[in-house]
Amino acid sequence: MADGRGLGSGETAPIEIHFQEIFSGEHIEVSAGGTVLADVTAKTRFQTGLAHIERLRLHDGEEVTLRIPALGLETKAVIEVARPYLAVTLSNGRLNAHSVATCPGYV
Amino acid sequence: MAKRSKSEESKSTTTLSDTGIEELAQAAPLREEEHPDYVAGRIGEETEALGETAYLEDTYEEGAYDEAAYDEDAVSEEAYEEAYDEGEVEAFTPVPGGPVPGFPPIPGGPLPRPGIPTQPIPRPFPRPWPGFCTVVSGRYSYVPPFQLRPQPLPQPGRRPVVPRRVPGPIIPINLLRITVRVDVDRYFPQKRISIQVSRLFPHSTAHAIARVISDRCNGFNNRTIRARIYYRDGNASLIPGTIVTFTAKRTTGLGYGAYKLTLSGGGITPRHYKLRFASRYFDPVEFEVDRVQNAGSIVTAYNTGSHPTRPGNLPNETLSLATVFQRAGFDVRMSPNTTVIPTSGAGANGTWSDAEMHNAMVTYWSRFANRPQWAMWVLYAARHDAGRGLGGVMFDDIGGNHRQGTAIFTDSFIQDVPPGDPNPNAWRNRMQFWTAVHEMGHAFNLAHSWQKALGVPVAPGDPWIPLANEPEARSYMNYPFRVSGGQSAFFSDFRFRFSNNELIFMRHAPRRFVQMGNSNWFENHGFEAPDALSQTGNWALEIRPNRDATAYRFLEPVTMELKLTNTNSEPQTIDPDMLQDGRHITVFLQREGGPTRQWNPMITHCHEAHEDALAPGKSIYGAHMVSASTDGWLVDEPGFYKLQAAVDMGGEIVVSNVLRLYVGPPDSQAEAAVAPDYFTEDVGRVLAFSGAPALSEAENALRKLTESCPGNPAARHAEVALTSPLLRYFKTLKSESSRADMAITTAKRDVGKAAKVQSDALLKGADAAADTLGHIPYFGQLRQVAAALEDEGNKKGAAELLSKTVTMMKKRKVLPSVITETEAALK
Repeated sequence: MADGRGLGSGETAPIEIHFQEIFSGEHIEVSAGGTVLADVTAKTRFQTGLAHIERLRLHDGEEVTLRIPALGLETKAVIEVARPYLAVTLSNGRLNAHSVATCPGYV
Repeated sequence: MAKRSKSEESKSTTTLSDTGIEELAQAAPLREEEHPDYVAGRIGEETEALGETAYLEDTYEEGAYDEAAYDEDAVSEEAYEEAYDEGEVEAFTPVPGGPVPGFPPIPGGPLPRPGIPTQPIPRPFPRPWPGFCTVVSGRYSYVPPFQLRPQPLPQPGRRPVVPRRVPGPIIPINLLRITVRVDVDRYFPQKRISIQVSRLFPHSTAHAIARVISDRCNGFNNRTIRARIYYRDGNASLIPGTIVTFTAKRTTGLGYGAYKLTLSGGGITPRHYKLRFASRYFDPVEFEVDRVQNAGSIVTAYNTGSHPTRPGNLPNETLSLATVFQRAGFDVRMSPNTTVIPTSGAGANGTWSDAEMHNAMVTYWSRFANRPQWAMWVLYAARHDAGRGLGGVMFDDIGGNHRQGTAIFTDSFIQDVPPGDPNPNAWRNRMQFWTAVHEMGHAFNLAHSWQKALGVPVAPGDPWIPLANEPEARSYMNYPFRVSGGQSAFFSDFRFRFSNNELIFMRHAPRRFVQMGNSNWFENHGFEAPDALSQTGNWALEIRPNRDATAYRFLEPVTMELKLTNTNSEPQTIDPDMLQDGRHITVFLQREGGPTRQWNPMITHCHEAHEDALAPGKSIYGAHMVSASTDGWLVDEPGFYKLQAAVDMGGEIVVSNVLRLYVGPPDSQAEAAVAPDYFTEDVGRVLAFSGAPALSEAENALRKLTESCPGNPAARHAEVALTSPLLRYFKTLKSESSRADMAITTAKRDVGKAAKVQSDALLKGADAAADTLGHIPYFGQLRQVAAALEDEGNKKGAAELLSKTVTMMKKRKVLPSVITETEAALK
């Protein structure tokens, strides 16, 4: 797990980005406001359906861009502090992201 | 309190050592005869709707089996029946439930109650009363015709006995070891019989699974079960035939006394094997539960009636981890060597990484051996490094022996009861119990319910066919919170069991796929009957050779035709080129006994995306030479091969039938001699591309083939590939010493020569040519030659060729639309 990195001072809240299924070693760039916040290499463990959790501090309402340069895929998500878990999946040739209120569980 | 069945009670009352986990709870399952999920035997007969006639019509390649291999081991029908009639055949072999010394065996554990059938009772009762047959499910082993006669032990104090001749054979001629798993009753019967064969010399193994087509109770404890083989692995000649018949008969006493396996069908002489009952379970397994000191109270048993969200008719009973896997078919032994792992040296970091757990397994698991064995380590710990979001994990995908250890994390989200739950304590217990079984299921190589369709796309491993996902399954392997309606919907319909496909895998798949420490995690996971996948309701995919025989000559390229049919009642849109363009279709091949390999086409066509409406019942077609892939030849040895195709229809994976074909050995020294130069990647490319003059060595190999093996069907492929470049001004990129010197050169066209050679290759023995090239490539090639003749101005030659093509198409019953199209070109 990488250390959290934020955009600086101000009203930020902890956000977890859960890279779930099905990543097979893709390099993913997480950015907001033109600043790259994290570089993630994700590979899903089929035992759990989880590839990686990236913890960041972000502003409520801030737009995050997730991009897989090698595949030319990109998706955006608006951060909601009330739904602090962003579940990211790669399926059917698309990168998907949606926020949930409770921490996703894996077994 | 529910009454406990005798057999299960004995398994759940393991005495723990003083250092054991005192909290390890006991099971109190319902008596199996009273359990709604338990099938206690059979009354009368059950036959599948498909009927036996269809199965008897199955054909098999005559002479494809090594008949001689069985002569020593198969018991002749006459000899067996004679012994059977005389009551000599294992009249007192152990029976389900265990032997009773000095008394006839008792079937099925509980005493049989003739005339008082236990559940399920067929209604209405068949008339006349046909008799009642108690349970037969379990594991059986082959009894060779000649047994080693036990020698009397030397008696102490007596003089050594002078060796004397022992009458009869004393060396067991037991070249075959056969294990039969019969799965027709007890808990969650799957109506399968699987056969595992190991031949000791020369060493070879085979595995087959058969689906039951009839199950008949002929009289009191006289049962005949017939099944059709639908899956094979390994050396197919060890399990000949297509039909498996298992009989269990009463001899003396009340219980079954004689068991027999018969293999028949497919044109073979029936073979009979006397069996001995081995166990009511399919395999033994041992679980060792260890607990980290700070894991707190752990849940290893659960009362199914303790939480109100449950199926209405779910029995109220206490299940243990052992109970669950006993009902899945395993003879569970709970290890007494439980350990509480101290946390005194853990320091500030009290969480666990996978590597730490692996090391703990090596240290604390009394059975650790780093080799395949039916044993598993189950660790209860507080929390994983990943945090509270990880409730458990089958952590052991480290090293060479995977799936030996699992972990459950008691300080994790599995303690987080949904707000408003009516019984939070029962919810937590159920979730922890469910999680433990879930992780242990992974150790049996079961994937998550929604991951069944995922394979391992690249080495290492031998991925099996794409499997159907079961996203709504009420199985231990699904996430309760992932199904429609969430965890409440899941548990209101969850019967504390694995899905049928998972049970088939655990009970009947080749044991290396399932056994802990054997096949790597996620390889061949969740094996499923292939034909169960093709019934999507929208599409049907067929893979076929479009020729009468599925036997191929050595060297002969294998071309497969694919047919995708709209089985919906409404028209559906489809890309009409998707079977032909090489980009949408996936084909898997497996030489029996070898790994499954994926065929990658040499050629893929990119074209403008377009979709047409396909009417109900209509089909699209494609054909591919699947012998050679981008990484080499896939069909290059004699033997049996299985092929299966899959196509992704917008997220819906449609899987074809499994086609089995046979490749014969070399017919001559010449065929054997050309093989090393023939089975090269370049020759594969020349054949796939219909010519590649730049690959001169490959073309030379094909010329040598046409000269030395003109009668082999591969020679026709070679003739076409070698001369097709002559049909056009063939461009070649020539390179001298550097990229700057590269230049395109155009070879001289010689349509007349190519047409002559190809007409001979395609029209002399035209049926044989169409058979080996495949319909679609064959007629496509004829039209290509005709087009080249016309392009060169030889309209008469083109018309003659097209006319012969049309005649041939009609003879071989090609689709009328294709004939019409070809006839139009004639005008």
